[in-house]
Amino acid sequence: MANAKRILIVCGTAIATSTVVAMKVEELLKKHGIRAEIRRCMTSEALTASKDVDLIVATTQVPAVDVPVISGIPFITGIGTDRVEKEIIDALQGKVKS
Amino acid sequence: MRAKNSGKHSYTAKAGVTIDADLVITHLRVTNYTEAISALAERLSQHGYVTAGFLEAVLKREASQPTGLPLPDIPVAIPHAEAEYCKVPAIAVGILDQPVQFGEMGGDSGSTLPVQIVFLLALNNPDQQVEWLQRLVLLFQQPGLLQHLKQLSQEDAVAAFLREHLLPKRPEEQQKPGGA
Repeated sequence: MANAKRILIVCGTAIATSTVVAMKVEELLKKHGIRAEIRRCMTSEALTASKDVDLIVATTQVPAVDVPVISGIPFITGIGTDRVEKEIIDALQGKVKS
Repeated sequence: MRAKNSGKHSYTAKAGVTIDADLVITHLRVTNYTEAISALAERLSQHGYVTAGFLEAVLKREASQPTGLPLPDIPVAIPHAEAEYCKVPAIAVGILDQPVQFGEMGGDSGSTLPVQIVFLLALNNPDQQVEWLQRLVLLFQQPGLLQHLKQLSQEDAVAAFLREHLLPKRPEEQQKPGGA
């Protein structure tokens, strides 16, 4: 079994949207039986904080980083949630194309 | 100093966040997002909900962290500032006569949305911000609710509609089991 994945949730202030998105991501992972550690940070900390994570889910623009960045906005608007959930699962299971 | 509180909205008081006709502007005529936010911030300020630096803080934040949300029929924006500018938690709402462009939350820099309803949030602690963001998200995601809201022309009807859909019926029902 693979080690627990590390996911970084990024938003403007690391308070509101990132918390809401983090809860949704947590539910998603539980549903798929994926073990992961979820952290949150502000946009300004994203570059540094991205160094040891597998995936970023962001509600703001994130500077160029070496890990996949997926938009968390669908969790806020309710539009495209299915697609973004699939992207997250695929990314964590190593099926990223890029 | 206290915000105006007539006590007529007991649910409002229990939930700790005021949604009142005094804080609603329907048929808001503005030409850009700055004017929209300014008009709503003035209401919050007039009625004693926020401190002097609130407007400036919201505009600064909106410029760097835009809050337009790409909802399918009616894009909305949820501008806000740091908790320190909030004296008494409240939400001001503007329904725009004509949409104005707001930056898109999480969008590429420069991408904008024609926003028709603005929810200016004055909330005073992180837990409350999270809770109310969730409540707003649930409202946004219910089909037809924003359409209905947009058609209301009376301020008190808007406030009543939002209280009905945003405030818990009873404090002990705030935690709902499950989701979806």
